[in-house]
Amino acid sequence: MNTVQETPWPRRPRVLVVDDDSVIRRTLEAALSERYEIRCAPSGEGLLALLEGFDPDLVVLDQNLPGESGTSLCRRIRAAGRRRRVPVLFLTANREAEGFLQAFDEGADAYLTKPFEMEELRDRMDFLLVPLAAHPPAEG
Amino acid sequence: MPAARNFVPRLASIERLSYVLLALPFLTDYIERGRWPRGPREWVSETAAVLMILLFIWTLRGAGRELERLEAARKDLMQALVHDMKSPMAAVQVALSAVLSKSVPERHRDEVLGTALDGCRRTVDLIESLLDLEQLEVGRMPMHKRSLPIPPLLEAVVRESAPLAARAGVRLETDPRMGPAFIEADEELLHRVLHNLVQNSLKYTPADGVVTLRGRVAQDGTALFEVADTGPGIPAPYRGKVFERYFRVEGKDQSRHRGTGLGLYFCRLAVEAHGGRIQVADGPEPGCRIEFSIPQREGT
Repeated sequence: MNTVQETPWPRRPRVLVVDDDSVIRRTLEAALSERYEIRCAPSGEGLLALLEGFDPDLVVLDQNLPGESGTSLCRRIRAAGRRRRVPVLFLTANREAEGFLQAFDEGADAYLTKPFEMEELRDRMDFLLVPLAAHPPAEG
Repeated sequence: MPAARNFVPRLASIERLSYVLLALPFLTDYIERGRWPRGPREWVSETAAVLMILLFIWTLRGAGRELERLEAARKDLMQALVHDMKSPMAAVQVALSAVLSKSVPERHRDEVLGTALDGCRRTVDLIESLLDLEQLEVGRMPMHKRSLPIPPLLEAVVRESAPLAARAGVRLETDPRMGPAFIEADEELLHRVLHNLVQNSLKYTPADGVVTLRGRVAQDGTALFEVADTGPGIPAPYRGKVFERYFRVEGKDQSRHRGTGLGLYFCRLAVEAHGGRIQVADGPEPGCRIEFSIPQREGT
């Protein structure tokens, strides 16, 4: 529900969403901006720069991006070796087990198939953000 | 053709039966007369008859395998198309359910509903173009040709794609030097061709780029159109192929694309239905220029 909730975090968590579907990007931005600080990108272009600049606490990746796939992006995020491990949540319209396995192989932390309910997504995001509430990283 | 699946095994059993038939005359001769084999004339005629049957069946089996191959290709395509339709509809469902469950704050509600509506439109466009393709392929597309002024036609296309261009940060314009030319064509089809070409260009043109539409009537009365962009262009080896059915310049990830690979194919069929030709203009990359001509019976 759209009430301003008590959040468990010391600040609004930063969430980077990469999805080529503009409907998904705008819906997530509109529905989640009160709870999280959302930054959206239609593709993985400039992703590593965004990781440094925006320093997200969570990345939400569409698995089936045109051009470089979400799976490949996840591999690059993991290979970038940042000072803290950023959780990655995959979104996909594909229900085949192969896709799930591939995503987890590349270091995904959670998986959600489209279409999904906003509450489901929020629950999963909050779950992945539990460490942020417990051990907030030093800012700076 | 779902019948193809039953057709091939049935042929195989007929074939096995023919082998039995081939052996049968010799066997019956042996049983009846205790003699082996029969006279040479009967032997030749019976063997020839059975061999004819076999030949006929082998031919049919070849056709059956071809049917099976087509059936498999059609299935692949169906799967790709169903996926292409599912993705935008799944996104629309996410948007609508978010609004309905009040996850979207009041002030963003209209905006989310607006993008959901765009998503529905894209899917309906896709379905419509599939239906039209079928009609064009069998030459049954009803053509409603009439005389159309070119500048308003181009301006309508620009107006329609302006929001997308604005979002992509691309300048979309018509050539201001166009004269007041007329063309004899089916307005709806021509509009869709131009719309597809512009959408295609916008998809591949990076921010701060330009997409330009031009249309004019040449000395001999042929109408010439072109859509040029400042995107990465189409590599020379692919230029002849982009108008083929389901062709895409593929990246490594083939699981999902923004298009169906049918947009340019539709353009070709629609231009050809007008007796015209469409091609990627020669030129260096980056930048892509697609031009098409529509001949006019009388220079208007």
